[in-house]
Amino acid sequence: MTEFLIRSLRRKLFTLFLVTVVSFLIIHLAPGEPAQVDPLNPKFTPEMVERFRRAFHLDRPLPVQYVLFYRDLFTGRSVSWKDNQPVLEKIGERFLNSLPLFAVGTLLTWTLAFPLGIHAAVRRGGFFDRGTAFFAYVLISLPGFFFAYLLILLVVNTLAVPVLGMQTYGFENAPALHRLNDRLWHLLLPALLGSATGIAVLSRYVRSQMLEVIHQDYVRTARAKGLPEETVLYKHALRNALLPFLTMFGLILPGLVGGSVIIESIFSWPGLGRMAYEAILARDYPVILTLNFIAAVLVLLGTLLSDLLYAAADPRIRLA
Amino acid sequence: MTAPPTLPETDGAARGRAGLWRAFRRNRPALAGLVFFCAFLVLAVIGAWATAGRQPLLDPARVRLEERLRPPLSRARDGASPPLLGIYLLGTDELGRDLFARMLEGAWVSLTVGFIAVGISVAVGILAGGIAGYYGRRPIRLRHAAAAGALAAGAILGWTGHLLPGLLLLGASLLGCLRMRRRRRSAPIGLLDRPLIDVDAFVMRIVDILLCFPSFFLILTVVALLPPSMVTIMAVIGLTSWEGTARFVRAEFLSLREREFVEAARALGVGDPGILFRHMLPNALGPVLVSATLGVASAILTESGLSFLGFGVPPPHATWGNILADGRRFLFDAPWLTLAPGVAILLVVLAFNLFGEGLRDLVNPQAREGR
Repeated sequence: MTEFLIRSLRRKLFTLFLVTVVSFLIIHLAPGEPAQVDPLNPKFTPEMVERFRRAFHLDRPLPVQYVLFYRDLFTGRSVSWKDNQPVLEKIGERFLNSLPLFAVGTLLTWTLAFPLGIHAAVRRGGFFDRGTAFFAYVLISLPGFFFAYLLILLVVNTLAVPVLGMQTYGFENAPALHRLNDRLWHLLLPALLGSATGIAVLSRYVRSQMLEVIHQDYVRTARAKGLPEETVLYKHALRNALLPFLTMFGLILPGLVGGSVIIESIFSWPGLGRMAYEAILARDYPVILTLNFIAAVLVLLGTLLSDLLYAAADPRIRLA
Repeated sequence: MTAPPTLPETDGAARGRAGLWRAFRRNRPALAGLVFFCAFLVLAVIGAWATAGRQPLLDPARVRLEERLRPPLSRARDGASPPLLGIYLLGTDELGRDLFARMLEGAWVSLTVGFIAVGISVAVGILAGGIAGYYGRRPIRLRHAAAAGALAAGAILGWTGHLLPGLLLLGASLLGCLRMRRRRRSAPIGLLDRPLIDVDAFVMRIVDILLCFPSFFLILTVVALLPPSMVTIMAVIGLTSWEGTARFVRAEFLSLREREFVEAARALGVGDPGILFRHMLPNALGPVLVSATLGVASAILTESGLSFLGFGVPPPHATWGNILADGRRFLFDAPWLTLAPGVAILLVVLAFNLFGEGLRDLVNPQAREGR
């Protein structure tokens, strides 16, 4: 076990190192320069450009830049090129905004997908099964931004509720209850959109897992013993069907960073995804690279977590 | 070619082509997907023909300022240069351009992007997965790495303008590669023969690295940094989405490698490329086809998402994504500018998804059992 942990961590650290190298190379070898050091930018004199270049270490050779950048990142000294704010602070602030969106979205996904999938599996081939199957395909095929505008049209036209941003402008001093209500309305649509594809994919997966398990011998045995259908389904079948979802649980972590670029920019939600979009637009290298680094860490942590969960839940699997 | 004598059929998996088609036809959503896909193909080709050229039948770029934001099916006013039949089938946009013509042009763009991106990703995936699965445990030795490194360094030097040293290095490393091939087992130089990592682990390591980047974020970054063009977008989508194909081609090849027919081919003296591509690949093609079909759907979605954010195919071309992105400013006044491209994307992607799932059921009979 410890041996597995050590080996796996070593491997993942090496992968992480390669990821940092690759992302650094992608950013720096791409043609074009950030606005502050672009010699064609009319707002800056050559002296200012020179000063910026020195401040950003852009006058050093690439390997030195690499070392300096990650040294600054780990010591918390790297600052955004756009507004000179410390990168980690900026990201922390945005992270707190993204968190409720992510949490509510994930909650919606997992609480809705399971009942839908199980019900479809039990009523296999029936109206409900076909209906959810078709609906799931539509949700998977629907471009998120288009769905967003459909919902906005619907909500704004019929319910007259403002939904852009995190709260309605000028509501800062409203009574607490009103403010909460307002925040919830603003949260609901983007969270629903963020979870739509997840619900569709996950419910299909739950259904196929359930179907696989329902045909097993032990389920037939349980039925033959005369156990009530509820017990057979939820105790004997479902528990065994749950296993693969443990792995998926680890894999939702990275969605925190890259999952919501489009949704957040439509709803003007000041979260991590929108921050990434703005940073890319402004060629704010420190922010892009830091977000990328965090995303990679989350991916690697997620896979480790799912390996461990799997081993904990399934005694047949031994980590070696 | 004469048909080989048929073996007694055991179950559905061994049925001939006609049987497969019959099984496919029973899956009505998949059939609908296929029919719609064919219709879309015809429409896109006609659209590309009708909107191209100097005097196109339907001009997607003609600006008629007096005909701004006309609703669908409205007649052209007198004096304006009318569209085909004098009717704006899908209305006009904020510059009075015929939405129908723009949608047709966009259909061709979506189709090209989808297919070429998936072509790239499938090619890379098959190559990487095939090499990993076939060579598996064979080690990459230090001399291989050195040659590859020198090759890459030469290419980078040449690329960044140091033409002479770059070319010299390239030539030297190529020469080294050739020599390495020729005297394969003659004189192993101790250090250079040190094994570094086996081929399989190497390819899978690359896949691991790729998986560490959130895919849409990576695509967005690269597309935003490179100069905008359709080629860039297709290449970037293709080169960032091959890991799935690589994974299951590898798994398939790992098991195919041990089969008798591969052994027979090897005994007959067929070379490695011949075994890989002529004998093993056709047996692994089913799942590749399925993931390619589903891949086209997701490539079209990705492209429209990029266009929507303003990083897509650059302006003279109309794409469904940028029609929608431009139309959102008129969401409440001219909803057809949002609805038409949105519904079109939905239908095409849905068709590809349904068709792909139908194919998956055919290729993978175990999954069919559950239906």
